[in-house]
Amino acid sequence: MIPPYLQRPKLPDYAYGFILAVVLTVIPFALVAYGDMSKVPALILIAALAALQLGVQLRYFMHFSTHRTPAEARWAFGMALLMGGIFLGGCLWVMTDLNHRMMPGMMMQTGAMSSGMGH
Amino acid sequence: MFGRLTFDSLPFYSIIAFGGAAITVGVGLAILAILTWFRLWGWLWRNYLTTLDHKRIGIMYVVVALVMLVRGFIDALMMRGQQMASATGHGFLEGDHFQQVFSAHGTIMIFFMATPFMAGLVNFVLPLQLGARDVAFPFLNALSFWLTAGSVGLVLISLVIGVFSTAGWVGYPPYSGIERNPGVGVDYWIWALFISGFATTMTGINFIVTIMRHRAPGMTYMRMPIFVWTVLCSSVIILIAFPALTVAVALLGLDRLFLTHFFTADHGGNLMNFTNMFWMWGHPEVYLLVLPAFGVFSEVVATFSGKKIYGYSAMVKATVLIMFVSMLVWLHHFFTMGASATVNAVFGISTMIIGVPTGLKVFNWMFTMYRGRVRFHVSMYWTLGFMVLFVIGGATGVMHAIVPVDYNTHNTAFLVAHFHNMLVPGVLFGFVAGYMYWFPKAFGFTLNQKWGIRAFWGWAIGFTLAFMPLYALGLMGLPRRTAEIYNPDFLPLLIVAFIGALCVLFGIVALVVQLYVSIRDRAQNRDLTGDPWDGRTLEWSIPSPPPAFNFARIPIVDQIDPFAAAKRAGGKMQYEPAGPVELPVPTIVPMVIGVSGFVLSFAAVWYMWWLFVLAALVMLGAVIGRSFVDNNEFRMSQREVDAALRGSAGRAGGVQ
Amino acid sequence: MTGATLRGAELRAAVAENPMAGLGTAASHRVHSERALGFWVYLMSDTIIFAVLFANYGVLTFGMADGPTPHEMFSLGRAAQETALLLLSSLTFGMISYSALSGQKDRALLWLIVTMVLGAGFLALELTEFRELFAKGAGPQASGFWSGFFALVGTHGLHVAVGMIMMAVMGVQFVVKGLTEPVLSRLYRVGLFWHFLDLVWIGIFSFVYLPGVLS
Repeated sequence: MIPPYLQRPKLPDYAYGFILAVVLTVIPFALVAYGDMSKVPALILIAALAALQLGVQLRYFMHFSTHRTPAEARWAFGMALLMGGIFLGGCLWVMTDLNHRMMPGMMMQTGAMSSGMGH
Repeated sequence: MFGRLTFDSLPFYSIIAFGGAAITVGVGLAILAILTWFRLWGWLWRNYLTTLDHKRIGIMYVVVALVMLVRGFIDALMMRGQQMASATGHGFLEGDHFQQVFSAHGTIMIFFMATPFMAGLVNFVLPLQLGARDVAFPFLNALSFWLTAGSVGLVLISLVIGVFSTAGWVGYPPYSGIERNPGVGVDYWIWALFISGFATTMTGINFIVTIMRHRAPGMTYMRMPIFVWTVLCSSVIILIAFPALTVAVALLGLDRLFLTHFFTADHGGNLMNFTNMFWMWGHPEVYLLVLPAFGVFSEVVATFSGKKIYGYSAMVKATVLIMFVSMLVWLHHFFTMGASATVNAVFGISTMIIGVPTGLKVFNWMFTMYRGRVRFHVSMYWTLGFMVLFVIGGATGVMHAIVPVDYNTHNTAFLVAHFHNMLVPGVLFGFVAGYMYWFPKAFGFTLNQKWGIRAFWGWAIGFTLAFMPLYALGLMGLPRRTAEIYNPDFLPLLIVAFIGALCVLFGIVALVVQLYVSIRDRAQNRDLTGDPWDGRTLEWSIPSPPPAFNFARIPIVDQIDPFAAAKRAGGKMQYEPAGPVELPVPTIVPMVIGVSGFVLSFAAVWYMWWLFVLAALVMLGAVIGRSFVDNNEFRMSQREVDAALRGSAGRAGGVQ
Repeated sequence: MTGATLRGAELRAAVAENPMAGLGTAASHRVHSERALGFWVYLMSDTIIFAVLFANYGVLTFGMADGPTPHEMFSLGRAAQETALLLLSSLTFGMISYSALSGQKDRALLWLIVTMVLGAGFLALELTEFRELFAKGAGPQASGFWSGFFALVGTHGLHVAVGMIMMAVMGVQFVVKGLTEPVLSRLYRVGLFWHFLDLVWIGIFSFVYLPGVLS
């Protein structure tokens, strides 16, 4: 078994990867520059394309695959993705929730809400 | 040239501050004097300053931890004393001294006592339990230690030059922002956390790869000692959680230095996000500390009950579950910050869930003892004390998890009692038990049992007297971090708490006496077999202390508790064929980088930017220079290995 | 993953596709594979750093106060140029790896220089962008939003700068040591780092620049 740092990458991988990445980049940029979509669907499409390009670059540039990446690295990657997602999502959920409750209008509705900045 | 450092930064403004500084400087000078008088510099250089040996690095970490335990405990005595005195008067601490004391106490105990203690025990034991010769990255290992030491130096020097933070060990803005806290205290705190955070992250990476790749042949994941499983899960927590702290304190530092608006009250800053990010790290942090302590208890209970740990696979699953859930509960540290009921409830429930796998572990330890032949080694005392006291803390934790209850107990003395109830009987007792359990392996002689038991009682009784009253005081309305109480109703309980602190002081003195007596009597207490406790895991199959290469021949493993299995079968263990051994070459570079880290952060605190850049260049240069070193190992031939083993002849387990 | 070293016919077959496969011993393969794994694990901690910085940015999109908005300040064209340079540099880094792992030192060095030029171009564009933002009153002190922007994009830029230093060191090592096993091991890790930065950049243009222009 040849260790990963001695395995020569395959040129076609770089070709596919690059072309796919270019396409997946041009589409969202063009969408924003010339497109007419409404905001939320556009953002969802951009996010989807980003996820796709992430996969493309991982596979074709970083050679992330079952036979070229050690199993432990794939586990680590999965963990980081999961926990990064939880931190990101959790953070945004918590902070938008707090933000919403800090808006001036809210103060009237919730009456004497003097919870303030508890630590 | 000296930035904002002036003569006024020296602690001549208060007797107590001057006293603290004098002791710090005095102890430092005394150590230098002893080293010089007894001509120990060569020995120190060869064996510790340049070492890349995980065993020596582990010992250095534990030494740092024990020193910082004393340092942090002095803060505790001052706090208990001040609160008792201020129930009926003004107390004896002036100005914002109390605030510095509690900030330093928390920061030191978590970052510079518990974390190095863990890193030290794991460093020493992990490769031995795996049947390995060293950790995966010995240079990185040493670098982690020296960067941590640099941060410790920064905290210690804050006692002599300038002041420490008054913003608590959590440092919330806006109080910790530049407007309300323009002095150096918060900056000391930020840099100490920033640098040691990198060190700890590198340690986590090191441990993970070591466990993944340095296991002895035949040691599948489900044949690893439970201690190793807890280290693996703890290291994953380090990897995931520490980046959150690094970002949080870095952004706070940017706010202070460059007047950005991450956490300001105006211009679109978001104060609450600091709390959020800090605790995203903060909660996993306490689990990262307690899991290896649980691992120690598993080892101790199994060994001294003469039985395999009960429910091995359940213990593994519980550990992994704790690891995951610990990263899902962070909001419970700020229930009262104003989130909606839904958000609070979700995190309240996840907090309650995490009690379940922990409870499972407690039951499994008890079941391991049941029908075992229990021997009351001193580590078992600490373990039993943990089992009784920690469960109380767990119960109060679940109480806090009930959000409406937390609205009443948050930031009161009740909370202070709860988290000390987890940290002292949980983390500290676990690490002290580990220290007493593995001491003979490290040094070749056992610790004095009698003084160890006295230390235990000092700590157990002291903890109970110091913190149980705090539960009551919290419910009676005493907020946390209160410098001047002025409420005579609280006095009786505060007196009890102070007595508790004195009992803990006795416990600490007993630990020191234990060390002295053990060293004095070491000839009688030599560990000649390498296996003083009839151990079950691989570390007990090699001499005490182990030779530099740990195992002359790598053991082959085919089940859990392989050494116990081999002894039971009456035979020897299986080994890989003998061969030459490669060990890392000692180097002073990690220490250079660590010292530069200290200089860098000191310069940053005092705005001495020329020095900051210089230190940064030294660090960068050292790292780049090191990258040019291809061959950083030296070989010991078969003959040299045998000679080294003969040198420890009579101290091997007879199975090599 | 590493197992025993290849020998004889197996080795010849492997070397046909991987000219440098014959380097090193089982022991050195083990050591360097561990370093590769360790670097993957480190990248995961870096992933969390960026995840937290993205989260921080997201939170601070509520914090524009009365300051300038991204819609006013972001330049789609400049972002496109930066993206192109970085993406191209990822491709050219692949070419470094290909040449080095074919044993072609001079070609590898050439592709390294090209990649560094592209990286330098990226940094130059970014510095110009930052300077313009400062001048237009959208510096990091302008509002929470801009602090968050500069923290995220600035940290990425700092990582790119570190990558440039790493590449410079690799260049020197190519010349001084040649394409030895330790050098190739290091190159692999630098490559992981450089590609990782392009992954983060996908996130940056997808969740910072494009939504900012759209808003």
